[in-house]
Amino acid sequence: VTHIDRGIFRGFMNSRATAVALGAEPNGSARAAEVYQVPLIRMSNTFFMPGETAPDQMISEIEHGYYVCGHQIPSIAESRENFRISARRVYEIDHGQLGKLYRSGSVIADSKRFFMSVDAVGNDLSLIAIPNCGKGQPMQVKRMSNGGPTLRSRARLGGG
Amino acid sequence: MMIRASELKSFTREAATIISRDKAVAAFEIYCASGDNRIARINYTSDIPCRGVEELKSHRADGFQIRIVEKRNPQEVGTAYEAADFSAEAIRSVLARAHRATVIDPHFPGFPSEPRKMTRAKSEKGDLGRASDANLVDAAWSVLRGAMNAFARGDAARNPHPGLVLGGDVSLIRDRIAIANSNFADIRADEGAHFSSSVTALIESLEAKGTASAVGRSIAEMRRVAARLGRDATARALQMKHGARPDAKIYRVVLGPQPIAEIINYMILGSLTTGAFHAASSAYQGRFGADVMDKRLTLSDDPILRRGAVLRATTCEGLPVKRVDLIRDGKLVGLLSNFYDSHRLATDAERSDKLGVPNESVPIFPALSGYRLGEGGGRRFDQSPGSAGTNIVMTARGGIEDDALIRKVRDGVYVGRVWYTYPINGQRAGDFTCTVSGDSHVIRDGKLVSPIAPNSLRINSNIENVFKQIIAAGKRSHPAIVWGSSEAFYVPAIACEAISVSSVGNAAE
Repeated sequence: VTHIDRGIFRGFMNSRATAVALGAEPNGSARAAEVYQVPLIRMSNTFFMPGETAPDQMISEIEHGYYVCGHQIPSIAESRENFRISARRVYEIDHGQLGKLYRSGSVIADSKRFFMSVDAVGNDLSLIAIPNCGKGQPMQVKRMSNGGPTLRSRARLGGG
Repeated sequence: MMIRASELKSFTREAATIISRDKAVAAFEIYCASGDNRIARINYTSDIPCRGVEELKSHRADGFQIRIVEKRNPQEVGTAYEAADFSAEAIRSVLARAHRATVIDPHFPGFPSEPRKMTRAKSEKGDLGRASDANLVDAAWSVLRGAMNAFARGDAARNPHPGLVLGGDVSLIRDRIAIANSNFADIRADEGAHFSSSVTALIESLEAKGTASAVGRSIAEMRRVAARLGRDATARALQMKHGARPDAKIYRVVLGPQPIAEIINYMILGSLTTGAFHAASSAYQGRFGADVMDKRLTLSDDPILRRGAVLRATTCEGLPVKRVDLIRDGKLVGLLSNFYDSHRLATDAERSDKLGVPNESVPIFPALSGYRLGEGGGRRFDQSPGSAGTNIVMTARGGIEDDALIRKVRDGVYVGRVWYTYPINGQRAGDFTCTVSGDSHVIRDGKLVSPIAPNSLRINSNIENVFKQIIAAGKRSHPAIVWGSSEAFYVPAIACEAISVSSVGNAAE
C-alpha cells in the first residue's frame, strides 16, 4: 500500500469494512494477533522509501545541528499529531562535521511540521524489527517493522 | 466451560504421583491453569455503518507445566508444558520433554517449601465465574444505550453528521489454577474472575472526547457500571467541546486517578521488584529505606483488598498471598517478588550497594507476588513466574476532596487522562513523557474554567515531580485501569507543584 507518494497522501490501510465506508478497495490491512481476537487495521512493514542524497553529504551541508541515531523509546500522541522519540546517541554537527557525542537525547516535534520540513532524504534504507508492537484494547502484540532512510528536518531536541 | 477446580486438583495429584516415580528427578513442580477471557467490543459510528456491539470473542487456555530438577545436578532444571491434554500419557510426554530441555541455572533456588501445608484461605470471589455470554453482551449493549441516551440530550445530536464514535470493550478475565511441588504436602488451588471496561466517546463535530472505565468482580457490579459508563463518557465528551490549547510552560497540575495509575504502572511498578534491583535498573536503585515520595503517600499491593477486583489467595508458585507495602509514608519499604528473584537478590554479592543498605540490614523479600500471567492478566499454564501486582493501592495521609485540590492549585491544569506514557532516558532516570488525551481542563482562580482540546499537550516530567513535589493529594482512592496492565489500580488525584508541559500543534491546520 502506498500511503504517500512524493509528499501527497494517496491512501489508507483498509479493512473490508472501512474500504466500503470510504469507497476504496480493501488492501488486506485488517490483522489479528490471534484467532480469538478482533482484527484491527494495523501496520506490517511501514517505511519511507530512500531518496538520492548520501547521508555524509546531508551532514556536510549543515552549519550547526545534530545527528540523532539509535532509536530507543517512542511516545506518540493519540492521533499521531506529535512525537517524542528517545535516541541512544546524539552527535553535535559543527561546520558539516560530526563532533561531540551525547549519550542520549530525544527528538520532539509535531508530526505534520516535521515531515513538511524535510529538506533531504538519504539514499540509505534500514528497517528495524519491532517484536512487540501493542495495539487495541485489550492489547494485541504483533511483530512488525518500521524504517526508512536518513531524513533531514527540523525538530526540538530534548535533554538526556 | 472452564475446567473445574476439583478436576485441576485431581490431575495435579495424578501428575505428582507419576513424576515422583521418576528416579532421575530430584524435585519437581506441576502447575495447571484453566483461563478464559471473553470480550464484547463496542464499535458505534454515527456516520458510517457499524454493528454497535461486535461479535463476542473468547479465548480459552487450559494446560499444565512441569518443572523438574535432575538428580545428577541440583542446578539442572527442565521445563515443558502441554495445552488441552490432561491425560496420563500427556504427563509422561511432558516429563520426557522436560528432561530433554534441561539447562544449568546457577541461580536456581529450588522450589518453595514453606508452608508445607497451606491453611485454606477464606476468599470472596464474587459470582463472575458463573457469568454467561449473555451477561457480557447485555452489559456491552447497556454501555451503548447509556451513551446514545446521553448524546440525544445534547445539541450535537441535531447535527446531521455529528461524527459520534463510541469505542471500547467489556472484558471478562477468569482463571483457575492448581499447583503442587515435591516440597509441599498438599495440592493448592485458587480461582479468580474480574471484569474491566473502558469506553471512549469521540464527537468529531465538537472536536471533543470523553472517557470512562471500571473494574469489578460481580455480575451485579458489571450491570451497574455498564449502565453508567457510556453515559459518563458521552456526557464528558459533550462538556469538552471546542477545547482550549494551552501554551507550553511549567504548570501547577492536578493529575487525576487515571494519569496517576498510568504513571505508577509504567514508571513505578517496574522499579519496585527484586528483579529490577538485581538488574540495577530500578529508578530507586540504592534508595531502599529512603524517602522516595512525599511523606503523605503510601503505595501497596493488596491481593485480598475488600473492594479489589483482582483477588487472589495463592500465588502461581503455590505460596499464600499477603498485602505488600511498597512505599509507606513516602519511604521505600518493600518490593514485589517471586521465589527466584527473592533468592537471586538475597545471594547477590552487590545487594548492599544495589539496595543502598548496610549488609547486615539487607531485608528478606518474601515471594508474595510470583504470578504466571498472560496478556490480559489471566493466569497461564505456559508462562514462567514473574513479579506482578494485583490491586495496587495508593493512599494519601491528610488527603482532601478533589474539588479542594483544584482550589489549592488555583491556576494551572487538571489532567484527567494521559496516553502513551513511556520512560525516556532509561527506567532508572525516572523521566517520562505522555500526551494529555482527554478529560482535561484549564484551572483558573481555583475552578475548572474551560476544557482542553484532546491531544494538545505533552507532559515531559519526572516521577519526583509527580510524587515528591506535591501540593496535596486526594482523600479518595478511585478505581482505574491501565492499557495492557494486569493490575487494578485504586489511586487518588494528586496536585503537583511543577509539571513541564509542551504544546502539540494542530495537525489539522
